[in-house]
Amino acid sequence: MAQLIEEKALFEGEFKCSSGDKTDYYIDMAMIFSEPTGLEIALSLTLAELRRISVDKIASPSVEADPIVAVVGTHAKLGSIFIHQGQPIYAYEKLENLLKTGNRVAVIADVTLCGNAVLSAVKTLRSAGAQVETAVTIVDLQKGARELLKQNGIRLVPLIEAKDIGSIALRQQ
Amino acid sequence: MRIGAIKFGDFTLSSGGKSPYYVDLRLAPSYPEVLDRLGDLYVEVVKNEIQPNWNIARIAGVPTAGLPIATVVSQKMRIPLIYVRKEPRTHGLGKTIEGVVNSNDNVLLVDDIITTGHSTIEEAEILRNRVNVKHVVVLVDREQGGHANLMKNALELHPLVKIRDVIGYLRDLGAITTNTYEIVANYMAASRQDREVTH
Repeated sequence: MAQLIEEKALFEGEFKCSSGDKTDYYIDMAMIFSEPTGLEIALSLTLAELRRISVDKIASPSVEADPIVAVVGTHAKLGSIFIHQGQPIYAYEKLENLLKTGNRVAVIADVTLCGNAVLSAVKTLRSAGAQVETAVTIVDLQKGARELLKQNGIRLVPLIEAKDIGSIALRQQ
Repeated sequence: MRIGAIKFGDFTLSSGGKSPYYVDLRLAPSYPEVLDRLGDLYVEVVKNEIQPNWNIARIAGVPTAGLPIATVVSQKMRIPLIYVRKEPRTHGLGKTIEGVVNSNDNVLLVDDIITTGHSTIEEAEILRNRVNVKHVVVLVDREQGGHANLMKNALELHPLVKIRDVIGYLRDLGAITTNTYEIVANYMAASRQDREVTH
């Protein structure tokens, strides 16, 4: 996966946090999810991680994570919930109703930087009665997400970290 | 209806119009077996109605409701997925088409529902800057002009079901009352007259 990201999803540009912290590279997971093979690799890694935790539902914190969350949901047979920019996407359904059939939720992100998008989804989920203890991210860029989420009672599980991606590790040296 | 994806009452549509019913496919992924089954039904339509005459290089999902369905269809058919962002990103590459795409690829549009078709046509026009778009697959055709408007824009609509059939089926099943059925049927007749007056 790290190699695939290096080849297909790593671009010049920048990622910015609301805290002002930033990277001088940019990871576009849509380039991975776009190709059936890339999506399947991300899917099987995420499924393996989910088998280690007990949850009733999974949640996407942004449109970028929607594709992976949708297929993880159908394969793990877990309902998936979509929260974009902290807001549930549903027009006429309360989040509380969707949580009635099980309220233990894991958030699944495509990329985490400072963790703000994940935290905002977790807060919305919790205020609707969800129990959220874990967030799985395909790539953590190691800019504070782990710490921020930990302070809020969430364990961040990255499948890949910035240091695993060769050319990013080189830049950081 | 079991999952609440179709509701009856008073609703305001994204176009601003009122409607006595509302179909929200954003709920489908909350029920993984429903999303998976829907994926199979879309695949069937694509294989029977589109693929015999048109090679599909990419499947484009329309966020928000269309993207999860398009992803499942993309995975089942092993055809790459793309999508158009509603708002261009503020960081990174700032592009609007997401995913791997080549100029002049044949792209199939996948959405949940069609009303007048205006938002679908907009989506197709953005894609047409780079690729070919000819076919649109949706779960529900609300039968409010979408089919004709798409045709004017050289787009063919492939609905899995039409709303008239859905409410007829629900009435026959006893899932909605004859009264509710008539409210929806009258609304559909009235919205057709509106269109005849305005056009």
